[in-house]
Amino acid sequence: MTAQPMEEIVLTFKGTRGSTIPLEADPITPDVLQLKFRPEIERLPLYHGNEQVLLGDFFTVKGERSNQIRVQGDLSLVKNIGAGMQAGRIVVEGNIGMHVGARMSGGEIEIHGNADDWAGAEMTGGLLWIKGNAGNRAGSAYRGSKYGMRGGVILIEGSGGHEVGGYMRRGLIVVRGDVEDHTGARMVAGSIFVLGRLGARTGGGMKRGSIVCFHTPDMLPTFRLTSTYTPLFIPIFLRSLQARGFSVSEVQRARHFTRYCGDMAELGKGEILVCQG
Amino acid sequence: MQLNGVPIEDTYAEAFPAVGARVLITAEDERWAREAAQSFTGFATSVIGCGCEAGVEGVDPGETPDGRPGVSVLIFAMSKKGLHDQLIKRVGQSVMTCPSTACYNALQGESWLSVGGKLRFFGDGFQFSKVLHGMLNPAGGRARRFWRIPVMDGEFVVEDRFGVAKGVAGGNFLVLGEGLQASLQAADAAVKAMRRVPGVIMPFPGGVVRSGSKVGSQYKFLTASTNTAYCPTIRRQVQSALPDDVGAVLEIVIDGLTPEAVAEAMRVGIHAACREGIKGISAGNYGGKLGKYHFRLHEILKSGGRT
Repeated sequence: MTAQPMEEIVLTFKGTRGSTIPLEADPITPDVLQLKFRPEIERLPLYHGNEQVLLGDFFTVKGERSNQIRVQGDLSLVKNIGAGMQAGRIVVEGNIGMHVGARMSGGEIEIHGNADDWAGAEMTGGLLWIKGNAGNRAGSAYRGSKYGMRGGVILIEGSGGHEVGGYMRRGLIVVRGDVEDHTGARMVAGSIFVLGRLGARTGGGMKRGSIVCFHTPDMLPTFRLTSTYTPLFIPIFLRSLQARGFSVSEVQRARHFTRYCGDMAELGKGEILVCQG
Repeated sequence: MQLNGVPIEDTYAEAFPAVGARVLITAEDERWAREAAQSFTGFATSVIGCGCEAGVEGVDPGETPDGRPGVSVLIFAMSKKGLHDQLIKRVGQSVMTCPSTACYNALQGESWLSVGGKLRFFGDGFQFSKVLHGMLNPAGGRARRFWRIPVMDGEFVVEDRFGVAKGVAGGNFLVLGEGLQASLQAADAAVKAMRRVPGVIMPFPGGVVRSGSKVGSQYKFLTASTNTAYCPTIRRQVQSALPDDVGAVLEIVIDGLTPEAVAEAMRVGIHAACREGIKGISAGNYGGKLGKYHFRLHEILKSGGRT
């Protein structure tokens, strides 16, 4: 008899038993879990430091054979959830550790909490929606990599850390709150929207791509003011975000943007668009 | 069969398969969107003479991608290549040139043609592309690429690819009136009613054509010539199809994205045209040997537009 696929797999985190060593949970992706029955899921190997453990040691498992995963608990020390995923959906109910959705190429991750550093790093597709704050280098490149994010969408409802979209090659990052320094540093293409305030050196070293700001950033001297006009792609993106459920109502009527091109120390075909109302 | 006392001839319109695209033109205000649409659809009455048939769709395009006023245009050609050529020329020469406009695909097609992807080179290396990820696209989950081409009033935004769908070209009916005034008023009323049908255009001036044609000619170099059977001034010199009390005939040609849309447009058009001074309604065909689609007038009127 063939078992019917469950609607959702629910993984409830039991905690790290007082340890501050992070748990590396790479197998928690829909691609892996959707083919497995509950005992197989519980036997999946994870790493806790240099020790190999079983998923069932740290999570209680309900459901099986589904590409819809719900992860519950304070997962601040759980890394790599959804890393490399290609399809399906993960909902995280709580904070999540580093590298969530890193190198993902499809599917959706929704985090009802904060995400630590490297969220969506080098992702190539899919949607990563962080309802809280993101740490540093969301959508960025790992050290030594040529490119950061190369496709997909990262939506951050809270604030972002340093180097959001660093070395970005393609895709869209939207941050409703503030971001720290080096946003879009050395980006090659793609779009970053920041509805809040920006830290220092925004767009430093960028070759191409767009950084759309709704507060005036401290502009590097290697960016040149070109004109104030109405870039139509901005209302297109804002309307789509609103329709998707990511509220941008406070900026939806923005029409006039001042365009700075740069970084002239590099190729100079990038742009920072600053909203003028 | 009669409608409002007007005899409906038991005949059919013969129409042909075509490929079509729907182009949404937006601008700062409706006037400039209409200017661009008018230019885009200019000299596009017949594929034989113009390479395509195009017209402004009568229905409101609703919400546009950039939130500005917009006008929806349909364009049809006999082949994908022909349509591609016309789209590039017309978007490039009639929309890109028009102040403040932007140009979007508005058809979930069966296949795709690169339009913005060709026109982008006008940007001379300063063009930008922006991709709206499929997850943010409410219409079908398909990623959409927009090209931003720097122009003298700012930027021209044009969508990378336009959808192509199989359509129908050459649906038609003839309004046989006692004189020119009666035929004009009836044809005008018909076109007004037909413009409320989504997915159709009437590509001739004002939606009406007076120079209906037949296949062939006495001249070897001419493949089509005036429809002598429906020309009242030579009715005694040819085998005329006109009753004696008919003084002027006008034809309404319909192109549509589906046969159902064409049939519905014909139905509402014929209803609107059957008024005082009209002596009959007929349709143009080629004996049924050339066109894939046959729109039988009686069936359309009985079935409420369904074929």
